[in-house]
Amino acid sequence: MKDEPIGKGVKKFTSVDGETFDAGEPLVLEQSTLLGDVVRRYSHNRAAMAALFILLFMIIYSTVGPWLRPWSFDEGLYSNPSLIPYQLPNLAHWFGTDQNGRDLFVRLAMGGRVSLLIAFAATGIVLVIGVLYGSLAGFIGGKTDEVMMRFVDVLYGLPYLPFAIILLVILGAGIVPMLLALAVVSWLTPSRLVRGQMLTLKQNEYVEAARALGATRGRIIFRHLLPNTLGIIVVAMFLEVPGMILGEATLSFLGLGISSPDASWGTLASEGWKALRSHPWMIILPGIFIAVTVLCFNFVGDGFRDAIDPRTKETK
Amino acid sequence: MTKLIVRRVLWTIPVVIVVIFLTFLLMKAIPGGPFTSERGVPEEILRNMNAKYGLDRPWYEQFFRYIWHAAQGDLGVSMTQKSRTVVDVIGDAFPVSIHLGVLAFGLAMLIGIPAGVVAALKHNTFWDYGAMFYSTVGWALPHFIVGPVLMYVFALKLGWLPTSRWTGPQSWILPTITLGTALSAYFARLTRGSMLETLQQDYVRTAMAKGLPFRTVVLKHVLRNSLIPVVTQAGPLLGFVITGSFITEYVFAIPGLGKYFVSSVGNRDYSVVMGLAVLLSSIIIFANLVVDILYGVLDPRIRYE
Amino acid sequence: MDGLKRTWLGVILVVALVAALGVVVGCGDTTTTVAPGGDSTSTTATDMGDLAEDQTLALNLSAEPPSLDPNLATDTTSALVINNIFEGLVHLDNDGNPLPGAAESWESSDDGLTYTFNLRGTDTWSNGDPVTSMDFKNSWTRILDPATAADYAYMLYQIVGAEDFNGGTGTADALGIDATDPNTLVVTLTSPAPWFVPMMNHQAFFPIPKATVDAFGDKWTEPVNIVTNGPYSFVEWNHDSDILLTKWADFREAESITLETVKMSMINEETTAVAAFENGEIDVQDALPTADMPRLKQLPQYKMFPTLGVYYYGFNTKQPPLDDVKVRKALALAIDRQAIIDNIAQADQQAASSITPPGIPGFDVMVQDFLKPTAQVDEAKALLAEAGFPDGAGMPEIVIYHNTSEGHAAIATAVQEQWKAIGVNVTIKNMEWKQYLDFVQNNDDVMVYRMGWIADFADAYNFLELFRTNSGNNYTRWGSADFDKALTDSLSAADDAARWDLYTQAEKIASDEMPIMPIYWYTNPDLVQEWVDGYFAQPLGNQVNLWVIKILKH
Repeated sequence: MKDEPIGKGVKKFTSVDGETFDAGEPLVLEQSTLLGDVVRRYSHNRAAMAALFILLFMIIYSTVGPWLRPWSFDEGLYSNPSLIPYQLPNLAHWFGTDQNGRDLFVRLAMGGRVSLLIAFAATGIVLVIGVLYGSLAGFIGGKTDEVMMRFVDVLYGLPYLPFAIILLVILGAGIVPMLLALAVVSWLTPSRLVRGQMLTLKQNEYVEAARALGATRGRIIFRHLLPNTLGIIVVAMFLEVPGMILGEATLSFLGLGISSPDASWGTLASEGWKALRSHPWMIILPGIFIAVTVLCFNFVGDGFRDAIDPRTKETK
Repeated sequence: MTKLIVRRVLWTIPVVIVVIFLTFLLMKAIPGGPFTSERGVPEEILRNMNAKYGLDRPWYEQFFRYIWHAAQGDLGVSMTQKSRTVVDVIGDAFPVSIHLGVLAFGLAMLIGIPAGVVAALKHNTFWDYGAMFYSTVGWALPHFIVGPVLMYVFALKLGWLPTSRWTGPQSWILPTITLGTALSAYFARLTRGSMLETLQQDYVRTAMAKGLPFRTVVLKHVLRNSLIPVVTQAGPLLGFVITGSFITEYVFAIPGLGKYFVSSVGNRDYSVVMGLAVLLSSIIIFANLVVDILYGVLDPRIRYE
Repeated sequence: MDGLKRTWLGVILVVALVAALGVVVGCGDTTTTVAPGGDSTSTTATDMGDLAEDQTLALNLSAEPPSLDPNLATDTTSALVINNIFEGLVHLDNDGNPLPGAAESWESSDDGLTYTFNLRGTDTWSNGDPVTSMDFKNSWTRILDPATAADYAYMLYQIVGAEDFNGGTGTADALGIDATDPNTLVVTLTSPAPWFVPMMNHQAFFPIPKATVDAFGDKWTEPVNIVTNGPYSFVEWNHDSDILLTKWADFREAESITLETVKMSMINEETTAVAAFENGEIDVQDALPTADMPRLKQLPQYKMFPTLGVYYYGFNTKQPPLDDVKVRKALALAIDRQAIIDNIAQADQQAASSITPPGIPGFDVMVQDFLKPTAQVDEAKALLAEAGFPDGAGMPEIVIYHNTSEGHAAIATAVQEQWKAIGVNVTIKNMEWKQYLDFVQNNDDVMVYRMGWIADFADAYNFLELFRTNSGNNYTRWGSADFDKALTDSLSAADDAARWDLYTQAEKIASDEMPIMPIYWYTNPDLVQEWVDGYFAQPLGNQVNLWVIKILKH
């Protein structure tokens, strides 16, 4: 990872409301220039660029992978007796076959679709809830803020995984229950983050100005305040996705994932774990896919954060 | 300050009650009960069992009874482990989980903090890149991959270590590494970042300018102040460690809380699930509380609302 | 402030160091392994020369036994421990025949309604108290007491007065259990039960030390409190981790017992347990991951034991199109059972052609041949066309439900593909176990569900009664008066032949109406180290008589 020298343009940190997340004073720049700067700075970050390309490759693989091979993801030895279970990676089956003779190249691609879809969708849900909740609390302030944040505090006390497990048992296996289980506690951090930003932003003169001109609350939030928090929201998104991928995989590994013949990287790893002794590649392959994707999201997230606000560099 | 701490501590009580209430509702919402079985159990036997565990009473009565008893330290009896109370279960399982957690935290600090320090001091050198590579990859490796791979290599292929269980120091090694790897990566990253920032501070520059030996400056000024964020991040990390310990205990058959929780949900052992949820919540709440207070103590710049 | 900071850092560093040292020092400590016996000179008899010095067996119990109280235990894990620390009236040999246990002998009345057990009078509990008929009467009264809330109370329902007492309408005095003298126990049944004597090997019928139970309540099964009468003493119980049993020196036949120590571990995950087995940490593992079966079957340690159980798919016979017997038969005929066994189950199971499995007395008479091991696709298609769905045209989609598990999912997938071959479209849904049970038992939307049954006692009655009209185990919503009658009549049949004939009639009815489709009969594949001699998992409940095991030199 290439670093710019520290100290250049670094300002003193002001703690936002005692929260652990410091984002500094928000940049208030003209949008187009900001975007241009971000792209320029990002493209200079070699590690982040490499990660972005690998991610794109993963997405392409997940999208077109199932069509590259003649077998479907759920085609096993019953419908096609020529499929032999537990083949090592070979010329026909690039990643080998599983216990039912299903092609793992195709299944890993399908698993990628499910895992990435769940991760993106859950992140989306989390951000929408978190941003709305956080900006409302931050903007309204006062007693409302106090009550809303106390509620967040209560939920922070919930142990995440145990509740996700109970929820999944209630809702049953499937993509939607998995989304809910992942999203239900994860919106807390973004909401705190956005609230902190709001508290700082709303003291700016232009907010006063807009208010004086008779703008409604909604208009102020959506037109003036949210666009200025976009940066940290984007960064939060990229940093949230890997957590979602790992969360989905972890729950699937414990046997709470989507049901066979559908697959996600987590359920594939779980199937691989059952065959660890004789067919270790069955767990190693999904493991590599999960780890590489998580790694790349982290790099991309860091890259974006640095590009959006170079001052926060190296302080995470 | 004291007043503030007292207020924060009192605040945990309603939080715990809300957690109990949510767990209670969720448990009741799961289809099937502790005595659902594939054997068609005669009606009268079901009735007897429900009566024994008070499940024949209305839900609000069950809830208030639970709170009342819990306040006196009685978390009820397990519905599947017929001879054990929930306190027994926690007494057996909690120390094991704590043991695993402490070992993993210890390992993580022992590797992560020096790695971060070296990386920061040798900024932009081979050492820095090496440490950062380790920390980025280590953070991305899921526990359920690290655990099985370690087991495969060191127990099955090389035969150096036991595969599983929690029976003695040899059996501690693989689970500790499994749980500690990602943590050490996180500590390395955090320490490095915070060191780099501290190194730029005026007082450090002044100390350097005064001609103090580099070693003294690093040990006396830089390291100490750099570790503040590391300490304050320990609270949020707790949730991560709990998640990791669930998987680690599952893979290595370690008799800790995580293994218990998963099987108790499966068995609909209401009292054990409630007890463990309350315990885990209390730990998290307590950790957050300690971190908040520590934060204030360590960094006087931070003002409380 | 500054001082405080330093203290905190100090604490953290010390914790880190101590923890790390713990790991490092710990490693050094335990490298001294227990020295094996080697060629010591203590062996005298020639056959003793084959035995290892250290008579210790490490067995994986897989899970924490939910209860070691004979009256409360309901599962085979608990039963494995209970069977070796307590002794019931009888033991079973490997074929399921009763052998004398706490009872030296027994006789039944001509009408089959009264059983008399004669105790030895010399056996004692581990605290020195004699084992008497009262210990049995106390136990049976306690399991039936509504306040005990015992799940398995219904095992005793064939005893006079039992159901009423347990249901809260009768009294303990009215029970047909008489301890006429300390060594004689007389039991009166409501109807003849030819399986009653072997059933005495079930833990529900074991004696309990009432004084100990009363003194310690729920905690009486802890090693410090427990009083036992079986071949092994219950020494240690580290919950969810391990159990230690040692030979009880004062047991009646202690001299003939070779195995001294049994260490039971509780490794839940099959993959982990098999890894531990192959690493030499455990000697016996009885649950094997199907994904690993092809390799495990090649190992010299692989052993297969018979077991009494059937794996089947049930049809909701009230749900169209499954209300048509032709459809049910077509679906059953379309399944290639052998392929499912060979490719998925993989433990040399037998393709099931009837409900009752082999190993049950009279099996050869009862077995139906309607279902072949391989698929009869043409017949299936013909039946489907007769039912009005030629090549599946117009057939509503079938939903298969199963509880979440790799193995069940694989079988459901195979069934799905095989039904597709006759034109039937299938979706598969899975649920977590208890949710699943709740669903198939109470929700009329269920279509096809998977289930299994492992015998409680070795008689076809135990399998067939599952499908009586309105039986608590009959989720097919199917009922047949003729089927019920055959079973009721069987209880008063003159002899085995007559009884088996009635069972055969019932099997025939079930096979004609096909409320369920048997898939295979279970086997019990285990991994057993080659030096463990005499290990045998019994067909009934996979119980193991530890006292016949010997550890050979290795």
